[in-house]
Amino acid sequence: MTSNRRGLWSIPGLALVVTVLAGCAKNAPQDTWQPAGPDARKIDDLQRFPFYAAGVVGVLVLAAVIFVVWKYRDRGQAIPHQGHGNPLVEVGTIAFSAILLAAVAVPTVGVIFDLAETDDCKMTINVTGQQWWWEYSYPQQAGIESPIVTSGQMVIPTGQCVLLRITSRDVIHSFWIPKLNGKKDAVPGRIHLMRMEADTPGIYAGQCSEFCGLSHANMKMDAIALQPADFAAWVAAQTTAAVAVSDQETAAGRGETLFKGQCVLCHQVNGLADPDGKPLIAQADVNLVSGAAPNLTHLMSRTTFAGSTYSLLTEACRTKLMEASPDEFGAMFLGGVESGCLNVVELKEWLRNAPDKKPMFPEISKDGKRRGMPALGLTENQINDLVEYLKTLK
Amino acid sequence: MLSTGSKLFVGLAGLTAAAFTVYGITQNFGALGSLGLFFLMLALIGLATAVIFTRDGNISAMDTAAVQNAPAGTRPAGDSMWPFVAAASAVLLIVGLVTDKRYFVAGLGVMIVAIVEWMVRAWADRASADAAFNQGIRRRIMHPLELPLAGLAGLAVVIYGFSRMMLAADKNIGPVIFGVGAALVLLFGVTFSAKSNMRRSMVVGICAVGGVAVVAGGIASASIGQRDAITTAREEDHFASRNLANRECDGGESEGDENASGAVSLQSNTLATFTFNGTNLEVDQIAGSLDGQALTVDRGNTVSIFFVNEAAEHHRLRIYAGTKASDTKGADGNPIVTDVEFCTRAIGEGKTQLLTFTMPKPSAADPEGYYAEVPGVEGARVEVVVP
Repeated sequence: MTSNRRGLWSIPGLALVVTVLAGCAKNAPQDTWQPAGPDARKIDDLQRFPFYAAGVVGVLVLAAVIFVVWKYRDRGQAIPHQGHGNPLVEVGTIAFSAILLAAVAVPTVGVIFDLAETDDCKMTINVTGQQWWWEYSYPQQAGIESPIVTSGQMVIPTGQCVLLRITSRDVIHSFWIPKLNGKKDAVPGRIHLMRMEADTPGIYAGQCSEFCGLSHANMKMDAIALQPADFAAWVAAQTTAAVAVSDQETAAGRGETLFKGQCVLCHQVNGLADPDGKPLIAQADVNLVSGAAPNLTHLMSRTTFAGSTYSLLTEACRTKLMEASPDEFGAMFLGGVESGCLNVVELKEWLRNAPDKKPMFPEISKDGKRRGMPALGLTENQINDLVEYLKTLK
Repeated sequence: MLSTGSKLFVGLAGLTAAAFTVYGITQNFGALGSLGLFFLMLALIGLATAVIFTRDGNISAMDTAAVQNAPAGTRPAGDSMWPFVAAASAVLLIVGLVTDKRYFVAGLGVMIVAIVEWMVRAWADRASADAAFNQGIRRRIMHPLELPLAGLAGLAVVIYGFSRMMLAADKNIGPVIFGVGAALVLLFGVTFSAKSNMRRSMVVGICAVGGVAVVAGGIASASIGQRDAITTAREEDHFASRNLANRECDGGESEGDENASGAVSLQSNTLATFTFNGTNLEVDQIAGSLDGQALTVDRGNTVSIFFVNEAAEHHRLRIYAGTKASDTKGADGNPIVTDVEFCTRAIGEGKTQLLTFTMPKPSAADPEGYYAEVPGVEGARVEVVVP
């Protein structure tokens, strides 16, 4: 074999090795083979038998093909008799396939019905997709006195079923937290139900799995699971309004003024009021295609921003949180973005030129609306002031 | 020097040049029209040059052999039906202008097809002096277009005819018709496959009978009309769509949405069902954990709800979602402020109405808060929260 041909073969060989080795990753955050809740476990239990069965069948077929190709290779012999069809083989393979598919179908149907069951879910969360972020709204219900709106990260209590009502404001998206359940499409005008449950506290990563436009690949989401007591504390904190900055001469005060004049055109911060004391209501319905932008009332209680594309925490603090034990995780998460942990660099880059950090269509369309955050043309001083104000949104 | 045909193009080119000059001077050569006229002039000069160069493409009248053998002198293989089709489509266009735009659109479609077919046929008939070759070249160009389009048209006729039958049939008989139809298709499909030596005319005959049966059944079903349940649902306006959402707050009447298939999906995804029993208004949400709570609707989300009237009188549901200032100003010089509201039609006892709406702003925007109510009945009100 010449060196050129060896080089040619080494490319697919290397690809095969890399593919196989990729399956060995232990810390893959979106690995469907590492279920972390009862619903995902049902799917995992279901997929293992067909996977192994398909593997065995695949190996047998491949071995048979290789055997036939090798044994009956052209050695100059006469062409053998050409037959057509063998009823025994045909009926046998069809019957075997049918039995195999039936063996897969019976438990599959059972799991489909199990996952569609929602009566045992004690809590409801509205999940809304839009280009290119996820909003989570907690309706008024037992344990939640007034509605909560957050984005990027959905917080749920461990050990209990949560019912998600999934929809979309613009195009079709798909909600998927691989370790907690399967996928569910978010379709405008329709409400799709999905149950979700996590065993232990932690961060469970997900990704929009229906191509939805320019920044589809950046449309990430997290499910944050907290122990019930921690979840109650989180609810209590989220139902409070933002506190106005007392001293308007500080950087945070100047940032608040800037926010009221510019950011509130799209973003809501509950508790902000105009000089007359009237609540400041975001004009997202006027300015945005989807009619909503992320509610920033408790921005610093999250660990990501820009549709979970970027971390609000520095690399060191994020790693510390990700590696926290289940017992420590709740307290660390509830602590929010502590001083010194804020990822100031990327937050400022985002405020400086958001479309540069995440591709969007921020230009004003014919109907006068935007699709995503535009470059605001802020000065460095304004960016610094705004960051100081955002820090107060605990 | 100038041949007869070239005079036309030379004249047109000259006129366009004059128009370009006049238009350009008056419009300072800045308007788009200047550009168009300039390039039109260039195109006409090009055509005039080509026609002068080829001397109109004329064959000398004295050269009888050339006249007889030239492709242009060849008689077409058969009569073309496309002039007739084009004329018929022109009639359809005119009738459509007067009566119904659907006829106009159909006429336009047929006209386009007829013109394309006519042009290609006319070109192919004179591509050579060999009629068989001409037919072959026409088929080569048009069959890749004609066959898929004809197949699609045939499929559309069958689907439309079958759908009319299913809409007309009783809902219990529908599955039987569907099952029998599918079984017949399977039966004949297996027969055709097993008996590969079956005569072609037999296969064509069976398919033709099937197609005629579906078309005849579709026409008959369309004349009978849709089954009572669908007709009643439409009269009750179950198929309302979002653009009709707030049509009834002023008490006026409106027409229901004819797009039933699009709206049926909305009916399977309602956020909540409001039930009025004559005294109280109650809401059931699709999540059990929310029973007895205020209805929470996220801003910007398009949602659908049902309103069920169990009272003896006619009632409607009204959803109040704050106020908005209009662009027009009142007598005091201030913008006129109107309610943002979504209402169902007034419906009788035991009837159900679907309502689709989008909440534009959080309920914190209005000091009164948002709510759903049955107008005219005190206390029949449920809080609506838009966080």
